[in-house]
Amino acid sequence: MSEISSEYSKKLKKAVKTLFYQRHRMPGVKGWELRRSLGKDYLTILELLNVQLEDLGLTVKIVFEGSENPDNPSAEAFESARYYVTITEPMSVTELKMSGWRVDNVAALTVAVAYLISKQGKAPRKDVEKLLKQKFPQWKLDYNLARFIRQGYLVDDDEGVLYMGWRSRAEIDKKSLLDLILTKEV
Amino acid sequence: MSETKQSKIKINRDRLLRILSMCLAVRKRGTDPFDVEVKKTLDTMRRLLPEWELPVDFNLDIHTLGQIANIVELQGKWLRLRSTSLYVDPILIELKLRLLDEDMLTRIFQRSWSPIVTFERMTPRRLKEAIDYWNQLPTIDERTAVDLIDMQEIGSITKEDLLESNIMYEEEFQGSMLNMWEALKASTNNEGRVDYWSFIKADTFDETVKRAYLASFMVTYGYASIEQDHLEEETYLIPFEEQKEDSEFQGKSVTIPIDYEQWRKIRRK
Repeated sequence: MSEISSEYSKKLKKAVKTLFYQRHRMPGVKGWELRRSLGKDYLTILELLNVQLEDLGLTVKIVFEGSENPDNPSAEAFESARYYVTITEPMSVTELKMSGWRVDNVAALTVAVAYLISKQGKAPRKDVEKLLKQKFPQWKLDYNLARFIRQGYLVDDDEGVLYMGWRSRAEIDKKSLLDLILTKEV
Repeated sequence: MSETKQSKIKINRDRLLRILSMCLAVRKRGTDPFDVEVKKTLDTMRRLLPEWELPVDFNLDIHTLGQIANIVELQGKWLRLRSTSLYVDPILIELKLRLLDEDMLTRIFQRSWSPIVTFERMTPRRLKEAIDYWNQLPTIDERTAVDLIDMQEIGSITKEDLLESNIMYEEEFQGSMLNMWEALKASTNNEGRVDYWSFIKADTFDETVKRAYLASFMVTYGYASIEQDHLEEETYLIPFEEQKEDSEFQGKSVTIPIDYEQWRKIRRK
């Protein structure tokens, strides 16, 4: 029994290293990387890890391939998904500002992402620009969109279409964002 | 094949291409898939089918049919999404977004944002690579000759480069540009224009380059336009009373090189 416990303990430590330490340009790891590193029962290890992380206000977030999370993901879907550690409790506005974000940039990102969510994850760049242009000058808008694309919050293609990026899908709770926008008293 | 028949086939082929491009546009841009009237489209295709004779037309027909099948799939997804709690009318969201101020938007974002947590680490292997790099790196003196050549190469720098390097800040950039615009409006002659070189000229070379840089953005963002008199070899800046949208003015690209010698010349004028 203690051998099994020790084995799991080792795998938990390994899972922490694999998930926390950024090894590629993008943070997070693929399911197949976790399987290779932790073994076939990697999802069980992640569940155990989640219990420990919960006390620290952290969680392992799974982002499946495609625009929506599947209802009953298959083993293949879990392997091709990307795994991140994210915080669970919302940050305060002060913490948000201290993390290097300016209020106007956050506002621009919120508008762009919320608009894309309402359009099922993609919309012509021109439409997003038109909405942002109401409150931001063109040069600032160009600067912000380029920055959001570089950070992975947005993705653009050659045909002028903007999509939700991998970071938006990992970090932003879409439903909560839309609910808050709709219920906010103006 | 008679000319009449040929022309009829061409018209029918165009109709099929229009259907195909509409299906592709809906799929690519994510617009409402119900914009494609599937039943009507299939009826049209059924009517056109007996007209096809060439393999290329049959191919086009099959390809279009495949795209219509994709549209039907999208319509199914669209209906499923509308029946979930996540669906909200995009117009409603757009309206709310227009009404919310920066502070409210930030509070909303902060409550639905869970940033990724990562650590950076140094591995023994990376440390060894760093030591090897240091050991083989030539000294500054050894590299000076090469660096001097690099420094004299002509390059370009964008506004983003300046902002990222903290040489200039966003507010400073916008403020400087708007101040310059006001100064430009105040210094126009009775023809409503100012000589470019006399306007950007400053006491130092650095300041002159900065003014030239800001002037280029004034033109790009619709605060002014630039005019060149090729006969007289003169360049003029013409300020607009209000910022113009992209569609309101004819954007043009003019290259005006400036170097130290050029600055000394305009200083003497």
